[in-house]
Amino acid sequence: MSEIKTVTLTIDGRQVTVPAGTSVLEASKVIGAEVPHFCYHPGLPVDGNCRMCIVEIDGARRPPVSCATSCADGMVVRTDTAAVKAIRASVMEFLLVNHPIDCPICDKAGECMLQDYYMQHDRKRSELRDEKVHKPRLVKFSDRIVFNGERCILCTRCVRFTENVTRTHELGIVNRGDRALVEVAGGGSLHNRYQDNVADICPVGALTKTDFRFKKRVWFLKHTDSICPGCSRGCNVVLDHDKNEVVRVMPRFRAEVNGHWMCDEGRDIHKRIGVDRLLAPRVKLPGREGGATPEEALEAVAEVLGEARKTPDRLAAIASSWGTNEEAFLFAKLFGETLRTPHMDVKSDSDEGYPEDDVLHTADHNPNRAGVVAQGVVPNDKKGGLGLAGILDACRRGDIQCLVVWGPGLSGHLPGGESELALVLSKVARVVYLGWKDDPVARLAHVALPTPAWAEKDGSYTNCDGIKSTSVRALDPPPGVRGEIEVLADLQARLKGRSYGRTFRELAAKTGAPLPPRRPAPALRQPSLYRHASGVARP
Amino acid sequence: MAYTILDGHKTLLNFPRGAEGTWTLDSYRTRGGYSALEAVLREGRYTPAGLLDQVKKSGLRGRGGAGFPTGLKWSFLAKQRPAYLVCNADESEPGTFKDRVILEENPHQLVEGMILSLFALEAEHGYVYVRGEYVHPQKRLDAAIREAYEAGYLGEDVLGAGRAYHITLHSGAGAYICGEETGLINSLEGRKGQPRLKPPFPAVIGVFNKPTIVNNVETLASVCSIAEFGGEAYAQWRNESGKSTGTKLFSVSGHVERPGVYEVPMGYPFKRLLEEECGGMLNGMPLKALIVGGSSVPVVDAETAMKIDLDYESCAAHGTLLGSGGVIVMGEGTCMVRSLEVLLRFYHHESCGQCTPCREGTGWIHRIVRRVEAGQGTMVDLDELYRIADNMEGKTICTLADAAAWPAKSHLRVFRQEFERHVHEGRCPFGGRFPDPFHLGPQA
Repeated sequence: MSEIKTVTLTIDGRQVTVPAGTSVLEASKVIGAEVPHFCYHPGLPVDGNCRMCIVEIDGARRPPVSCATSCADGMVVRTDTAAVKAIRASVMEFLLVNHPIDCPICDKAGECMLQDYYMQHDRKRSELRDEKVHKPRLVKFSDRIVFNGERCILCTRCVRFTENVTRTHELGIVNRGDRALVEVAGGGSLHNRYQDNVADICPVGALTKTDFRFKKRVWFLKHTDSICPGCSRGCNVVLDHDKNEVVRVMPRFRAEVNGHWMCDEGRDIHKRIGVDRLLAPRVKLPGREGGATPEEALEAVAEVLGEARKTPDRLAAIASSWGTNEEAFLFAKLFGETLRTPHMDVKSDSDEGYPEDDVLHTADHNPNRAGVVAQGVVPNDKKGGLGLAGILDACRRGDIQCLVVWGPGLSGHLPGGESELALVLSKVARVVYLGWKDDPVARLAHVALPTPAWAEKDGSYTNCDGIKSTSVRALDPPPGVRGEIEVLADLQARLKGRSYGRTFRELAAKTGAPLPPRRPAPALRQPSLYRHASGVARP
Repeated sequence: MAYTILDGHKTLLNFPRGAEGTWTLDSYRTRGGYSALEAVLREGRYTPAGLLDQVKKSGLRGRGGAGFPTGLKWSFLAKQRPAYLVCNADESEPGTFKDRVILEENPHQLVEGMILSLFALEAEHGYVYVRGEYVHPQKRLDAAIREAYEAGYLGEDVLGAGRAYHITLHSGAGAYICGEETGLINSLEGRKGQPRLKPPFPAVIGVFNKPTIVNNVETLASVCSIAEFGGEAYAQWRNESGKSTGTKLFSVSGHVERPGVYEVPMGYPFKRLLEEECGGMLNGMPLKALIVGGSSVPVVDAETAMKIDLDYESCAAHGTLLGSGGVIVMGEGTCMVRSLEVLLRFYHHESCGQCTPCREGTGWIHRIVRRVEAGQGTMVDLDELYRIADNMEGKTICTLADAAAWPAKSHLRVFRQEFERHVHEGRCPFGGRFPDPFHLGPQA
């Protein structure tokens, strides 16, 4: 690897060494004295229009904007002098002069950069005597995005997003001076698949998501690091939730996975959590028909598997591609090691969603196929193990006595869909289903155990590039529903297998999952509106 | 008062004004046109580096308003080729109409100056970006470029010297901001006319991402004289007291007997320009205020105006700027609040809307001044006006915000009493007819 050239400069009397080419603004973040800014966004080209990030640099003819100034050796930067503060205050004044200051009805309040900086820099009442400039206030840019021209500070982040990230060029600034306005080119609507990002990066409340408008004040939200299960990119996200309900999904910066962005499909996947949910176990075994407690159902599964281990060749296990690495690890150990079946494979749980594109979305609509395979859920070739298609064929022939299906979507692998599924499963003596959805398999299975959705459990996922990300439990699962780790560990114990651990943290060491930082428990809800709600460093 | 260059000797307006056909090639040749180009290309009078050196020695400074030394600017041009020369003919500053005279009456001198400049810069292609409203000048320039192509001054092999030179005329769409060189470059490329962040400067990355030199019409036309007479001779054309060199066009408007465009040597006293060239004040009325270099430069009062010699140094010494040479003369009876209101309406309208202080500030101060002019202002407004203008200054990508702030601050500083009279009397003491602000939207 070539040596990265670095430069050393002084910011506010503190020395900082950064790679050559780093902007002064980025360097200021390193020492924790981030220069206030609006138009700068690390994921977008520099535009330098807001003039908020002006700093003093010794030797410069006039104070430059720190976003567009590269660090140089021996540079002396001052970000906190009276002159710099006065410039910032004046820029704030210019931004606010025509701003409606309608924070009480603005969805951005609480995480608005304009609001934050106003509180930090001035906090004076308006003394404006002239009428403000009026602009259109309720423009539907698309079904997902609503634009308020009066709140807009024309930082062009959204314009640069459509120009450089999606390269769809829908947005532009029309008109000049204080009549300038963001508009969709040609009067159409936003049509890219990443449009919710423009609302995220909007530093003010000009662009809001129809999905989040007027739903929740941001300071009521709790924030949990998660991943998006929509495709094998596995975008790192933050679930913003309250009262055991996800209210919105925001991208979480991870340079090697998703950068700053995520697609719109990922924003909506949380809405599937409550749909077609398998909420209680079902047992249809002779003598055990009808409702069962979770404990009884687990006992039934153990019984079925105990029977099946006598003929491991006639046992087959199909794993979920939405399962976590830790669950897949236990799944592989339970069926491969303890029950010794050679027939193990992973299926696609989902094939619905966006097609592949060149921004983030991949063709595989499952988050962890690679990880499940890597944990050993593969056919045992030495013993003539069958893959997914082979297992289904064997079922059709009546060669499989016990089939374990983890996760929904098996019917998607059969050309005849659900009717063929019923036919195939009718040839299998015992079908066990584990999963969070009330899948056709769940209705046909002899034992069906409900499990939590991804937002309701801890676990790591391996994306299409082999990068692991950890998702933290954000919601409580429905009452009585136990996680796969617990269920699999319990079965392992009942079937006298080796113990590998019963919690995510114990198993993470074995799967190499990155452990999530322990967020400090939120202190008392702070009354100030201007505290950034998430407490997350914001770009 | 002695001038090295004789009074009446003209290098840019070297033809009888108002005569027919001065814009044709034949007429230009009878005045010695294209002789410098032939001497350079056929006789090898200068090498490209030699001509650049002459431009440096001439002391020529950019005539568009900023006054940046032309030779120095040229020396910054990156070595990468192709490189482009762009002639800035987007003359849009209120009070400035000097380039128009060159384009309309002497376009061949611009063409020759551009070819010489292309030679010195070792570039092939020049663009002329003419403001959209200059329909007539565009026709004249277009005809001149055609004539030059036909006569072999432009084309693949110019004058048999084995060098190719091309000039393309590009019409702007009428935006003041496109006179800013990077705004012009964006517009020329087909983008929205908004200035670019600098660095990189156009001399490194300009039109189509190639090294580019942008010069004003008058600057490029002046290169002919430098090539003809030599840089040192050109540097002698000045008032003995000043350092600025060459001749300069001044477009005089306002309350004078003979408004128009005049060419005088640098350092020519304003008093003499007013009294001799312009025939004195209109109807003999007393002088009240002077804007010497186009609408953006600070206004001065009559007393100061009479002390000004028309060069960079003297203007700076008297608290203003030579700018583009757009002289606006205001006689007694002019309302200075009204004057400022008119200027700020222009800047409000023309701010490109990119940088916060300019986008919001130009409209804000315009609204305040409009209110003061209508008699609705307060003393607090006057202080606010000055403070806001001061806050706009020096914080933006280009100098449009400064160009709006300077007249605002200078009008207030020099004519404060007049603003206060508007406040105290609750009306314009000059009877300025002006609509009631409450019947006007903020975007009027």
